[in-house]
Amino acid sequence: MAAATRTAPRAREIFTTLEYGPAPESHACALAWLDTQDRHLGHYVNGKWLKPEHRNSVPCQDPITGENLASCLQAQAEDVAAAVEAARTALENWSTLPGARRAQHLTRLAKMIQKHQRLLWTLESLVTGRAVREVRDRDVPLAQQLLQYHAVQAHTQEEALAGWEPMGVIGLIVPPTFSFLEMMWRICPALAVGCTVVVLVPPASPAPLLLAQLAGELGSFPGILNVISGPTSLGPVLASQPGVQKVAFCGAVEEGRALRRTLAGQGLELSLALGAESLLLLTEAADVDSAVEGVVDATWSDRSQVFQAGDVPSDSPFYPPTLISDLPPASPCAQTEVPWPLVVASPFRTAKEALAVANGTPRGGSASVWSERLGQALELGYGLRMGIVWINAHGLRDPAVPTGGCKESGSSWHGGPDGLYEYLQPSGTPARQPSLSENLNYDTFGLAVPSTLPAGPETGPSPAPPYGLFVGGRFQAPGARSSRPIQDSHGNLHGYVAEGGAKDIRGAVEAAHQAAPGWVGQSPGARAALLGALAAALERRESALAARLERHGVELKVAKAEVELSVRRLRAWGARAQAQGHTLQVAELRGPVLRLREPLGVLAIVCPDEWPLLAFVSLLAPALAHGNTVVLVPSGTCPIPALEVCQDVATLLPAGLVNVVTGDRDHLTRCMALHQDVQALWYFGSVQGSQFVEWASAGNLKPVWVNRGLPRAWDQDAEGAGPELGLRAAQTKALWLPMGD
Amino acid sequence: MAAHNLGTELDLSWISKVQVNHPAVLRRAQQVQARRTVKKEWQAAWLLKAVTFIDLTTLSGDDTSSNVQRLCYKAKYPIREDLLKALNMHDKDITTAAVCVYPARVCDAVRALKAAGCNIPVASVATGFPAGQTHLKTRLEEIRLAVEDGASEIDVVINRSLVLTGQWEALYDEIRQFRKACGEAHLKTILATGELGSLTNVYKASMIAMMAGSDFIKTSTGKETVNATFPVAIVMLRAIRDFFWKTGNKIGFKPAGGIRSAKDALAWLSLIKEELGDEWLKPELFRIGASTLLSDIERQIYHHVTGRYAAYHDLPMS
Repeated sequence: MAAATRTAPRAREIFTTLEYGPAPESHACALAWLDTQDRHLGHYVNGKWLKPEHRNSVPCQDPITGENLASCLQAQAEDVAAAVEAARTALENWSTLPGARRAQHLTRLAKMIQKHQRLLWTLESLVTGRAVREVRDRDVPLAQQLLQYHAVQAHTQEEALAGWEPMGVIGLIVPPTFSFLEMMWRICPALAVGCTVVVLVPPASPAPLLLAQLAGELGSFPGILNVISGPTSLGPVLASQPGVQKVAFCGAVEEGRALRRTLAGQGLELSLALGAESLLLLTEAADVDSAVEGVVDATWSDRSQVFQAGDVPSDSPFYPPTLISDLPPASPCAQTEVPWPLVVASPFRTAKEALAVANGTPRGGSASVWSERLGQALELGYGLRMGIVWINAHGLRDPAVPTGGCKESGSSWHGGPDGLYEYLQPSGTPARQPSLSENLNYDTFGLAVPSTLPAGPETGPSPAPPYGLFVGGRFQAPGARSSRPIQDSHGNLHGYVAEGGAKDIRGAVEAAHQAAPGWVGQSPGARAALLGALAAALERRESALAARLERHGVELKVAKAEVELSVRRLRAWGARAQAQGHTLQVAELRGPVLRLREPLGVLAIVCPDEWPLLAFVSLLAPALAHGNTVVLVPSGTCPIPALEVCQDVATLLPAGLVNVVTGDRDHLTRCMALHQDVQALWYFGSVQGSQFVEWASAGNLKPVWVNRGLPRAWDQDAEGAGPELGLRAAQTKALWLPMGD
Repeated sequence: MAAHNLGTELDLSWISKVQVNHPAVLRRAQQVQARRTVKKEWQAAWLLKAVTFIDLTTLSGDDTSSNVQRLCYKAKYPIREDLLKALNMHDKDITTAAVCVYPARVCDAVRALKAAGCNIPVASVATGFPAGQTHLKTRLEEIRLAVEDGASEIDVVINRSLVLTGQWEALYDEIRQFRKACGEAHLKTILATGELGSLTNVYKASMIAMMAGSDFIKTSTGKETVNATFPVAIVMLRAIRDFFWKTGNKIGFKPAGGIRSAKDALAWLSLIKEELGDEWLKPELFRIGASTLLSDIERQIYHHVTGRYAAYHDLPMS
């Protein structure tokens, strides 16, 4: 057979240079799909394409060539409403299905993706400019794994997640620089547990639309996944639609902060996943070459989409990767969020210093530790205040491992058990109530403390109630040196309590911070023992406590029952906190992933007015059991039983662990919500107070739990001691420990 | 071939603090294999280049002068002339880098290559190949005899027991003696990485071999259960880079064993390019030890040129 049919004129030259050539992947498939839409993309709602007229459209361009690929409609409020309506309708059926049926549907979607994977990867690569292999070899398989993992979770849901129900319609907001995987990470658990989803994607993101189409073409259950494209500014519109129970947002920190403020008081849950920075700690005991590969992985990780079309400083349509070394933490550059691949290298001298530098930023996303010394690696891994820590690896992800963050990186999770709880609520949780106070003035809420004057004759209860703020292990006079009268159920003066203020909160938070390292260092067993001792002390004080409650109109028998139940709560949480965290097994990874449950830090709690003793103890016990230190504001109408408990706390627990500040609840709430060094806040009070707390939490993005003015059945185990409290009292951390020699 | 590596004094501080993280290297190996691909004329050119890196090898118990002769002619004419012409590469004098045989076949190979009218070097394995479990005296003698017979490259195997028991000075001394026995011939040191126990040992053995004066370090004999793998190669290449940074000497690298497909060969070229750079992509610094690889490359070239898949009998055997 004669050769010479096709010649390669350049082979000779390449033989000498050995350069890489283009490895073109035909985009014909993606273009053909765009043609089926006449190069005109709308939204995908309720299993159908939605292309309303009279809308603006934006071009979808190939970032490499600048070629116009299609035009994409920009949604308006009514399109958002239509999508939410579809999701609401779908929810009725979807949420009541047996888990096994949902599992089946998710598995079918996984197979659908498998059948059309070439279309998916060529489309994503064409539109984002990301390398085909990255999408094909990593994103597409992971998308299928996510569906399969969550199908299994749906299967076992009735058994494993008894007592929880789906939240409802979820609004998901994805920013421009995230791949379709970010959407998959969140919709999979939401759909698995029975929620339906409306995704707001940035204009010109065809891959999410394609995924919605693939889901829609499964036939059954249209409307469980709806994708609309439009600017992020539509986020609040999406959130304000009746029926939306939760908004999950991923994007830039400042956008997340703004959204937190906007959505305050709207009665929905908001979860944030913010920023994209990741940290590497490279020690002298590291395999440096491997760590360098880790740096490269981190720079090109999927969260920090490095290939950015747009204003670019060079000829290439992509930002050039950048390395900055010796940048001190105080440099303004070190504190800015940038979208391009940037590596900032800073030296550290000791492990302690590394932790101080790494933890000394508002970010708490992910980090890797590079050290071959086991002790050092674990010390750093446990010490980092981050959502995810990889030891001698970077950027590993798996559907079974929770991924998330803390601090200003947002404390939301996807993957693993934590990802499921993001879309669940305890069964029987009342539906969203519109409770927004339009005229709540954030500047003045709780700012002024009404003056309190002597309130008539002290009728002299015996013994006299304890007086003072309980801060740092002892009763102290308030900074304002004034007091407020507490009346009993007959309107008579029961006694005076101290009028706490901003400085007292500051002191209490400081005391709590000082106590924190010692308390975290205690074993769960030691914590349980101390809670047990406190329970025993309460038992001894039963008659005094019951008498206090009785003066506030509680029947003696009921009062005794309240004390008894409080004692039980302390013991129960002490025991429960023993079983914390667990090990996850990940396919393809040799070695374990530890799912750690770590304390939040300093937890501020505003107790409800009702159940003055039981609610106080029911909130205090899980907080302490999980290793937090606390600043509490007790019941406003009846704070004395809480102060009574403090007398035992003073003798039994380390100083500063529990701090109780009495005074004007709105004022104290304001001080704590605006305090940047309070790591979490639970608020049980008024509608306005709840709204204020949500608004103010945007400052340091502390996780908050508010009751929106709704009462809670503290005497029922489900609400007074349910797993929800344990879930909220600690934060997850995933510690990856790959092994091998 | 380039001048010899004269080696350096033994400096154990170069290996004492070394840490190689096994799972991280495995991940890198996975990535690097999938990251780059070459297509069309790039693929053809890369494959032809790969041919020039091959140490065309036969190491069988039944080797005789006839099949060694066949091998030598294949080394001289690795790709069918008309295919090379189609690529306009017929005047590039493309041959394999060397032929590699047992010591007893060196004479046959030298004779055959001379008859073919070319100066392709003959490499001989030596020092009790493949186990290295013979007396040092006989191992050294084996090198001298092979060189006497005309081998200009000697592929020695190291004594694995010295690595596994951490006798680095003894290992250095042995390789030093191999070096001396080689005289003008090039020393290629086979680390038999499948039997070294850990990647950290692979790094240390690589460094010792280079300090002792090896011109090449080679992954395996092809007779171990685990042969040339990417993770091992990454560690050896990093050692080569470190040695270059410390001394300015460029040491060659030779993976051997289990490299059978054209696709594998491309991945190896890409690995060298990524880890060491283009300077290492020449026969003086990179070899692939293989026996069946060449025929697969020739089939791919055939397909590139003709657009058809070759029948077994379309291409001359080696």
